[in-house]
Amino acid sequence: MLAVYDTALGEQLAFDEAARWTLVALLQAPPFLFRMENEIAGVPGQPRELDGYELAARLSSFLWVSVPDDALLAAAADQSLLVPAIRDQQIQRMLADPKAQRFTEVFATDFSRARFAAFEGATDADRAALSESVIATFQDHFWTQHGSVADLFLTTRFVVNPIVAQLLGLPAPGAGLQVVDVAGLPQRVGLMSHPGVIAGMGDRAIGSFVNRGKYLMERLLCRHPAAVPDDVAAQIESFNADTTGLNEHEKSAIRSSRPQCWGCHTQFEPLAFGFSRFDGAGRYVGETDADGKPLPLDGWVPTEEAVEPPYTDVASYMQILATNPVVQTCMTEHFIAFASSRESSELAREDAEHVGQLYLANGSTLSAMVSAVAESPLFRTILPPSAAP
Amino acid sequence: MRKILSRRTFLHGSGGVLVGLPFLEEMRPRAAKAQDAAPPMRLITLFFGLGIAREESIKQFTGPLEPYQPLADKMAFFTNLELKQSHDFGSGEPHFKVGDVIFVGDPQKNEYNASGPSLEQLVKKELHPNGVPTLLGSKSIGMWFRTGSVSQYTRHWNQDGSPGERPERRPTRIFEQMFGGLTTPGTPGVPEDPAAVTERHLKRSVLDAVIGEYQHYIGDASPLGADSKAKLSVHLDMIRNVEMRLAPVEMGIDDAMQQENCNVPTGVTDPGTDVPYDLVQGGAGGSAPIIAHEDFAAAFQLQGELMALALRCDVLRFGSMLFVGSGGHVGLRGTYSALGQSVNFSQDLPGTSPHDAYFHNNRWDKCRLHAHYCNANLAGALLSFDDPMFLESNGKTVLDNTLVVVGTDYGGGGTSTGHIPEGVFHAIAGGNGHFKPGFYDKVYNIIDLYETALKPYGIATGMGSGRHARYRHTPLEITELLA
Repeated sequence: MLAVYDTALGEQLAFDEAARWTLVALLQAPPFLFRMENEIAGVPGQPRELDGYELAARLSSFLWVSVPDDALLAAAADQSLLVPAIRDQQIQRMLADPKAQRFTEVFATDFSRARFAAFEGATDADRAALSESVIATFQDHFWTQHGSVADLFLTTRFVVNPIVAQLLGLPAPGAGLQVVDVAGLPQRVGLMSHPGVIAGMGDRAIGSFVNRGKYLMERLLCRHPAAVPDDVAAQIESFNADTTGLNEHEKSAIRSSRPQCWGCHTQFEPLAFGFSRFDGAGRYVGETDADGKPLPLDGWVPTEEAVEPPYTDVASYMQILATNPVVQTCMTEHFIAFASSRESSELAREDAEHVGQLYLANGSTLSAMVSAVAESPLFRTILPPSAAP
Repeated sequence: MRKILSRRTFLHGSGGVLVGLPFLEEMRPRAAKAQDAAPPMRLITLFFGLGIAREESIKQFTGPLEPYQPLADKMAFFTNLELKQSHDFGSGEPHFKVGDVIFVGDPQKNEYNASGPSLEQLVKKELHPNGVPTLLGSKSIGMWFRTGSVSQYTRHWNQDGSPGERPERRPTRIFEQMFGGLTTPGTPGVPEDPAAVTERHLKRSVLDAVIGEYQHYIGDASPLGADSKAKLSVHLDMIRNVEMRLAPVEMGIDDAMQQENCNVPTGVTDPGTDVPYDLVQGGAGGSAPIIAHEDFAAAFQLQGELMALALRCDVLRFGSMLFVGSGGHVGLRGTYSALGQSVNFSQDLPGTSPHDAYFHNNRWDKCRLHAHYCNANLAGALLSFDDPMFLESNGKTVLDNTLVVVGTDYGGGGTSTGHIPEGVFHAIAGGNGHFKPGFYDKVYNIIDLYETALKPYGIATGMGSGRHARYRHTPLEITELLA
């Protein structure tokens, strides 16, 4: 960058103009545009502890979606940030700063995907309203109510705007955002029953159990569906033709009778049963479909535990999500992935389990989650690539 | 055929300037004979959203494909392709999953990334592993108005499958990006402004500093791993585009010019008074701008002519054009006539997108003319490439010396489930005599077609391998297509 400055002086420019051109170069330099870490230092294949500056950059990116401030840089410079107690002090200080609300806003936006709502007749105003309401509910839960991550699945306190109120079947609350209690509404418990989250599954009308199940599997269990085997793929077309006119429960019942289908579908379809009374916009449609066929809600959460927990309605479903260790570990994985800017699939499940235990032991609050994540080896270390064979 | 495109709107009598631009050494006349067997040095993809139902495309030139009739001896039409792999893998709604399979082949890596590079990037890398000797590495342009998913509008996918350039819409901006930065420092008899010289030196210095930084981070001494280096390499490629534009002389790419073919006008005007060129709309469905179809066509027409001019001038050799993104989301108004019929877009295809008429309401009696309209516009672009007024040094048109792959996303719907990944339309045009023109209605996968289209380049793409192999219908290539 000094070469730019020297060139400018060589062109007989004044100091401020030379500085301006140097700034032009700085703003385009890769270290300014990308958060880069030394990915190869250390022993190949062995995790390396981040240094103070690298840790400061990760923390500020995680919690503020920005760069470190002077206090964080000072803790990085003297390496005190590497001391757990000091690190936690910095985390609490950062969480007390209003900039920390950026973290939950971005997290809520990514988690809900309300901006991708695609229900019939959806407008941009609908998508914006759904996203706004989900984010506001998220922010209210964590920053006003100081609720836990687990209680996010149980809250009946939604922050709604007129569009979301209408989708919930509530009278228009007036312009802007209003807090409402949805406890009296049918099958509304927890953020997962918020219209923005349901609409974010991207369904046009009543959602396909397959699509919704796969979406929920990734969100709640942090697992990804396996590739469709060749012999099964060859049958999909005829299955769709044969089941035209059936509702999702009826189609699912047929799949469940076919081992070649249900071997995989049992891992995600049951997650969708509890949402079968919500249409693509997250509206409650009642206990039967348009043909008068019942829409049962009972299912189970396929956690792959010895006994997979069953549910009978949305309330019992959400209670499982709020308490089940597999689901809570998955939520922790989402936070770790967000914090470290890595894809969830890269994370080791055992580290997330450890972080989850730490979070539960420290009170299950957002603060506890952030502290636990920051203590995670996945957050504090980097893995240099193994040496080429 | 209804000629909706008034061609060469700006090239005749433009009073433009001649600029120093690279010479296509591959087209020297002395090499003309050998040239016939050479692979096309350029590759452009053309995409239109919403597709054509197969029962319409098999009507050949008596249906929505009628606008291609003047190019019948230069195009191969495929009316029965499959892209089932896009439905079996990936996430997101159907148009999201299809958008990054078109011109790529294999299913998406994830919602935001294709499995690998798009065809033009693949060939670009193969032919020019150390960088393309043109002002622009590639260019994406088009008319689209939906940002629900990056795959709806992106047709340029980088080597690692990450999305490349977002298609530019505003013709004046395209013109500036293609031609506006060209200067001729030191033009004999024209003293250069000292301030301009200083600014050029400083920009050069900034560019050197920034490129030096990138080279450090992707070089052997980099502290980064392979994945991070790949991401920075993509960014460096874009910066090199700037470098080429800033200093064509210093980069040695102003070898010669083909003055008669590269008459750059002094400027262009954006067609239409209500075309929202800068509109960005999120989401997957719902509202879209409603635009007079004549204005929309005029804008794309100008884009096509600019692309043709850029190819003639060798400003670029690789690029993509988009006429409505995957899934549609452009409403049209006005009456359009073709095939002895008329459709009033506002009344017969109401709402802000004909998407539902295509995929959920089975209104092909009305969609037929909408599909005709889309293909008339694409044909207009191809005719600009094929302008016989601008023969290249081997006596062929730009289209002849270019491989153009035309693609779309679906083969129609018709039921509430809609979105059928079969009976899909594609075409290839030009190709320097490597392909047999005609209609092909045999069932192939798009991977079969892409592999065959790349056959002249000798590229082993890796598409359709492993678990995706089952989608292929041909083991190697579509032999009946190869000349």
